[in-house]
Amino acid sequence: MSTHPSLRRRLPGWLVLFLAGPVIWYLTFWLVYLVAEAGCTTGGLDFRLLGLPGLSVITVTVSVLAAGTIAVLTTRAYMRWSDDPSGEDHRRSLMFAGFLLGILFLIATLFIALPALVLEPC
Amino acid sequence: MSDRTPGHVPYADTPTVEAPSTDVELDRLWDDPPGLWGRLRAVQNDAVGRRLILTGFFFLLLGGTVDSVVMRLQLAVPDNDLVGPQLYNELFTNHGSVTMFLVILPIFEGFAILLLPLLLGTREMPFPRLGAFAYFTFLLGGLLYYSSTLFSAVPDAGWFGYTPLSGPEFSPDLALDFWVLGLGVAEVGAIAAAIEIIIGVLKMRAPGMTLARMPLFAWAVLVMAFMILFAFTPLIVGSLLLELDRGFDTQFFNPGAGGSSLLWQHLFWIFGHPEVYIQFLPATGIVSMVLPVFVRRRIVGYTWLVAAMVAVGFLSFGLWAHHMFSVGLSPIVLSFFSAASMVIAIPAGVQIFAWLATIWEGRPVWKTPFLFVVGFLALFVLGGITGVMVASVPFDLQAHDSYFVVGHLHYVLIGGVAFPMFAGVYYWLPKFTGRLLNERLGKWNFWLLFIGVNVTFFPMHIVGLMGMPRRIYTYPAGLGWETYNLISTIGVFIIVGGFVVFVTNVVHTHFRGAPAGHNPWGGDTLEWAVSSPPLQHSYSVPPIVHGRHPLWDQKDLHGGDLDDERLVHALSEWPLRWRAALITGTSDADPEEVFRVAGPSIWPLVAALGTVAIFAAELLKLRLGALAGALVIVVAVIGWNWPEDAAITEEEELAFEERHRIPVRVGGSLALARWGTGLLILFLGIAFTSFLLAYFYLRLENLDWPPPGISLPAPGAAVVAGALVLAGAVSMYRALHGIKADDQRRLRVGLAVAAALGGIGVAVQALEVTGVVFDSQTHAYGSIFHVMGWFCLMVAVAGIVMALMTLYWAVRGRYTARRHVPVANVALYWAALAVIWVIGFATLYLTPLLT
Repeated sequence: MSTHPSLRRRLPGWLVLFLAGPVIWYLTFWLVYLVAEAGCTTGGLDFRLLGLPGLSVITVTVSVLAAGTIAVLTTRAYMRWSDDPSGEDHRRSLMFAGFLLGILFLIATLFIALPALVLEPC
Repeated sequence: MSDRTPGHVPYADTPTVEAPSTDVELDRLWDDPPGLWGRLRAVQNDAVGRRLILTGFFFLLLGGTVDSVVMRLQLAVPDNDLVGPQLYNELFTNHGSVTMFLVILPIFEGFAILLLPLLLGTREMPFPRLGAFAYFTFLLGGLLYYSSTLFSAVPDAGWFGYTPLSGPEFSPDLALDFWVLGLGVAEVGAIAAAIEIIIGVLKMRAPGMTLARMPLFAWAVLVMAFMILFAFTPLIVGSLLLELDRGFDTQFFNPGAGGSSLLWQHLFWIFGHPEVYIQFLPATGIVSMVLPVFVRRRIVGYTWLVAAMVAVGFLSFGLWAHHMFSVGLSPIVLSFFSAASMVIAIPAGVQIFAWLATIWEGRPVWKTPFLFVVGFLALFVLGGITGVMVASVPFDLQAHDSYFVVGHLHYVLIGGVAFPMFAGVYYWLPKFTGRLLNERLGKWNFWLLFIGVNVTFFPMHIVGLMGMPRRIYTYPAGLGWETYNLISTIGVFIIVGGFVVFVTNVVHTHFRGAPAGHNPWGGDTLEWAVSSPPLQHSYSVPPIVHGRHPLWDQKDLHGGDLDDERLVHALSEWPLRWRAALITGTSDADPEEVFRVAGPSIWPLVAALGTVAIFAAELLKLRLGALAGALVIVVAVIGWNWPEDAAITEEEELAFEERHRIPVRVGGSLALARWGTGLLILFLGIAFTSFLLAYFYLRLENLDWPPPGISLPAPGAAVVAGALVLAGAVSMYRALHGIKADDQRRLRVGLAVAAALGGIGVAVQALEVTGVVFDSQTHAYGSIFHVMGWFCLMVAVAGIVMALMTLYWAVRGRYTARRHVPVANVALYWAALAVIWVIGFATLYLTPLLT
């Protein structure tokens, strides 16, 4: 066993899959909020695409991309949980928690973007 | 008698920990010194935890009870003149501020610090001196806040201190300074305790107690502590900006000079809303601990509950603007926050259904702790449903600032937080006093509180929907509000009756309580395996855990992997000259290190006094006093960290390491130091991000940036300073690599060069910032330029001081290839400071060109 200090440690995979959903949601939330705040305050992003205001397009696009990423990582968490019945219990349990969190934050990401499809943003 | 029905659990004859012959010696070693001087130096988790809880209850009696009784008496009848508008403003400000800052939070942090070592199967918290510092700053901050009454300058702008009411124009006297500065000191204490809790939970669990086996209370306080770090830091930044507006004439919150009063609301509520969940989560942790024991069944959905707590922690940071629905936010922003506020009902609902399912599957034993849990379920569901109602923008626009919201938040905070707190006290107090609280008085306590809360707060929903605004000191007759208000006032006296019964019960128990024994409730977690009260070090032989319910599932608490078994037994015999504890893996709880826990010290108190001196000096406008306070802190931190005599030789260390294949860190734990430095950097990163948010928010609020008449400073000097600081960081890493190779010369040269380059860089940048042609007082642009610039400079100065201290010890030959934890930490800090420096000054000098 090494007794030398080492600060170079990789982020453990279980932690990534455990917290992927909430962290991606949190970053997405801040991003769409800040863009909306900036867009409405400055009057920028003044374009329309497919009948939707520019700000709504950005909100929906960012949210869908984030939701897709969450979906992929949630699926991986599910597979890690279901494919390894004999695995160490703490990793399996956290993978299941990561799966649950992924589903919740997938819903949250899409739910928060939904009004952008029907509301005039500013 | 044991019940072996599937799913149900034994609740008698639970195992106890081994009691080796060294019990007495270890107990003496871990005990804090006697007498007044000893008490001031006390750092043990039981002393710190008890003090936090008792001081929190003391502030509860002052600010939670007395204020509310006077307010309710005033509102009992229309046109009442018991108290005038000014005193009423002071009462509701004090009531909110004290309960939110000085009561619930310290009580739960006290619960955590007191209970965690027992629950996790370890001997102490990781940084006992930090715990003591947290307590003293909390106490001194609370006293500084309350000392406003001595100067007849009681804060009166609400617990949220909205600008411009709290700004220099409308609150020119000292009242709001007491509010900002007194509570600011307490916030420092809250963050210190949070760091202690995070590292304690993640690194100091019994062997075998993986994250998935951890008691749910530990999960709850872990999430709580991270939330404190993320929520209180923006508040500290906001408070700093407010105090700068008040005391140094900056313009952050003055719309007339480029500032924004909404910026304060954002910074406050980014803290304020998570604060509600910071209080709620540990309460749910208590419920998840108490409930299974009193229904004799394992909790249903452990993993679901963990996921729900983590989800609540994250979602709570996306809700803050639902306190600002009526300030004129754009529709899309309103919809973001409205949707997030509704989504949080999902994890809250998951928790409720998991608890209900556990009760449904179990066989309830209607003791007082369980009554409080059931009361919590009923009240919190009501408070939660009205919470979803106010998450809806159209409804909130009607109910905003009405008594409906007062009713809602009290159902959440009393039903959802205070009831579990009482459950926790009835459940765990016998562990620490060795005596059971009286059941008959407990039931009176519960029913008076339960009835009182409903009688007081339910009518508020109705009177709020009838249009009664909150924070009014009186109201005219004939609006139909009289009866509801009178009922609410009667209710508050029923609540007071409940409190009186509780205090009576505690006093009665102290003198005549029945002996508790080690496990009076048939509990499943480790704290019930030790004597009541526990030994100072809790465990002579640390336990080995094989499941989530060790006392229900294990007959032997010290059996398991042979290496682990040998290690935990060895720890009861060696070392007996210094306080040793075990560090385990973050997720798998495998033993990683044996380290020396810090002992009693006066320096935490001195550091807390220095902290409060800085804040008090600003209050009295004695700016040199702040400098003196800073010097006191520097001296205290040096004394606090002064290396102690190792007490053993490296050969002794090596012998134990070889026998048990685990490092012995008598000079301090590497893992704890790494985590401590990481969290310090996280704290600085959050503070820095808060400054960046303030910067860009102000930028958006101003069409011209910099404002007309001010030209953007040339970036030349900033580029030179940045290059010097970056080179300093590189040199710091060269020093680290040097000592890893046992090259003392490379270490010393690297440290010296880093300090020198950093020092020159700071000097160049400081001259540049002080030399710009605009000041911090004319326009918000100048205010944020100077404050953010000085923040980056201060971060760098701290790095230089660390480098010089490390150099001092390096010259004295303190570090070796085996023992060089401080060097590694300082190098990590320098990496962070270089990033902060580059982003900070790039923002100030370059982003105006882009926008």
